[in-house]
Amino acid sequence: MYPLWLLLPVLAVYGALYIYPTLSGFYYSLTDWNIYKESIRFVGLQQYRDLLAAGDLVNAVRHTLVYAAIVTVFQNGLGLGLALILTTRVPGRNAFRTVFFLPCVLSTLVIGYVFSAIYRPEGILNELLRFVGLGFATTDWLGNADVALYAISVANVWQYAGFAMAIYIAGILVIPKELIEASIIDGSGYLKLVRYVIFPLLAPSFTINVILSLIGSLKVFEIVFALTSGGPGDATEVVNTYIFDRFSDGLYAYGTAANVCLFLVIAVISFYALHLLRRREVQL
Amino acid sequence: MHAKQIKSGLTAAVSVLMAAALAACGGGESGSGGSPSSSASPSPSASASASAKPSETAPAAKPVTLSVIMHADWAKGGPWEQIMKGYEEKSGNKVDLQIVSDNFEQMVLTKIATEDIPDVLFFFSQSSAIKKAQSGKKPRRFVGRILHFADQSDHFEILPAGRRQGVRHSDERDERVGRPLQQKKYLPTSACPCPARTTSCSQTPRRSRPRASPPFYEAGKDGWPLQVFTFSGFANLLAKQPDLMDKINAHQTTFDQIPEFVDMLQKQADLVKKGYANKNLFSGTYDLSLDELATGKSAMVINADWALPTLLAKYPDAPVGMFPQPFEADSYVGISDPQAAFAFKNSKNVEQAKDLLAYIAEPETLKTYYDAAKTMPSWLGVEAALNGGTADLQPVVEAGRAAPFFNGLTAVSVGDYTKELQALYGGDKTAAEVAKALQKNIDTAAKAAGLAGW
Repeated sequence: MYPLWLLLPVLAVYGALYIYPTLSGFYYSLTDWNIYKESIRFVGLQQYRDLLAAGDLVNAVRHTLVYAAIVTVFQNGLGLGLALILTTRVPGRNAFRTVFFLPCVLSTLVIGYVFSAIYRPEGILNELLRFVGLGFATTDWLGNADVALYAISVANVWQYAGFAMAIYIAGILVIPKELIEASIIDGSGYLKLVRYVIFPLLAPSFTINVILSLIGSLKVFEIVFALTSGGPGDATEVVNTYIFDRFSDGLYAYGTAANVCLFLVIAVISFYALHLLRRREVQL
Repeated sequence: MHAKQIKSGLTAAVSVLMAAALAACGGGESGSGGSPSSSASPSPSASASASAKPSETAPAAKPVTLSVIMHADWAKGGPWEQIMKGYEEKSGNKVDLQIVSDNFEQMVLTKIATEDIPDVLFFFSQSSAIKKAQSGKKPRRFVGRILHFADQSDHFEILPAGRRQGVRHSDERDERVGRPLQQKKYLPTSACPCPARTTSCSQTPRRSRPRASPPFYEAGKDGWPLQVFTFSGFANLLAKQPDLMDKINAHQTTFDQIPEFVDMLQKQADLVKKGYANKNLFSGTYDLSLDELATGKSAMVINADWALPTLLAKYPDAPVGMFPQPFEADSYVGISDPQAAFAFKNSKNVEQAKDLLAYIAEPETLKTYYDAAKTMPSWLGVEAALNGGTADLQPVVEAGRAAPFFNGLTAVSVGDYTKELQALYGGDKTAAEVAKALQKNIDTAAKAAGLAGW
């Protein structure tokens, strides 16, 4: 047993770089801090009242939740599918693992530029659709307010599905072979093997993946900023682009209050999801 | 014993040498002689500096490197490298010219807030922009010591347009004029009768126009060019109601209460609704708009003559002209606020920075600038050859039919007006709702600023 005081350096760094700024953020959301004033003043919950009165944060929260739901479901679905395929004896599986993992180490800004080109009205996606006879489905993927948010979600899923895949592969590889062999001897086909043996034993990997993708997508900023900057209009406005705009307007306390709201939303959703998934792990 | 004596002797010798060396260092560093250890170096400043650098003159004359930041768009067509080189040769100072393209405003405000200030900054000159840049006091623990921007008398506008006689509302404004750019070759063959009133243009039957050749190209993805339509059109309202901005700034009227402004927004929305703008305009960018215009794929772009240097650099022979946005029979044109050059009071090279600004203001330097930029010189006595498009509108401006963009006249920032216009084009908001949203942005900022009347 190491003495507890050895934790002090780490706690000091954590406190200075995380706890203190977080608590400061809470405090400044209760002030009138903005670019136009010479001094700051405590105003209680005024910024939160203004946020609720303005109503536009609600729209950003709605977009963020939709985005998070899409990304979490598809990123995990695709990641799990890829992991299942690439843990069989498919030729070139190691190369495929590398290829699928690669996008998550690329800069989000680069991904944004790539997908901007793909999504352009005369871009690769529309050309492909026309080529396969689906010309009626072509659209301005980032300019059409009805589809822009989904188009951005696809870019994010593409980028991080490989990351989810890597965690699932690690989970699958530690499943005892005896269990799989026993299941096969008992006559279960591949689907039953996945459903009744592999998937339950992947529960810890599933929990980690869902929580990471949920938190990551609730905090989304870069990919939205790179592709649409929240536009057209406010069709893809998410909470972080909303906060960014408020800071750009010099409304720091207002933006900080929005940030505190985002923090609370993420905390509540994450803890609830974690609670559910942990319970599921025990049940399985 | 003998060894001990040697050791003691060496130690004493080394100690004396070290003491002498430290004393010498102390003497060299103690500028004004206020050091308590001055007894160790009897003539601290004069003798030390005189012996170290006998030929050096006063510290102020020591060459420095001035850091200068400007936006990439402002550097285009302007021979800043040449001007800065001229200054370097004249003064002996060096200039580190940093040209920034993306997130310029954000980057500059962050630099100011973190006290990472340049010596000279080329920045927006609207009062709301300056107000933003002047901030930095609060909260102290976040951004540290207060930074004061230079006083009005200390900052220097590169393009203060309004010295020209007869220009309304433009006493200290640039003359970068917002109005449609027009493709000269294309337009006469087009069925769209522009230049004329916008209404008559948009009433032109669609079938009479060539297919896939929209009269207007709108850069909806970049967004900011969408603002020029109302920025420029508002000049006509200011011409009729000179006190309009005062009323807005005193909160005696609001943008959504100005029917002409709402009509103007409606007209802008109609351009798209009636099919006079490019399809897929939300993937349209500013650069693409210039390509489309120069190559004749689109007849017009609603923008200002700041576009011309970029356009002509790529398409030197493009026959591009300009005309006032046709809101009235004798329409006014909008004038953007100039970029301005600022020296910071707390810059460590403030005197040299002022010196650089003074150099830029010299007639020969201005001539060099305007000859390259080909924009209307706003300094009396400076003449320059203009780009064709700019020259088209020179008579309009000379006649005084010009007024500043309204975003340069509001007491606080107009916020993200671009987003509201995108929503208008997308059909998500009506003209009245956009006017209301614009006012809401101003209300929020004005309340935050604690302005009287809000």
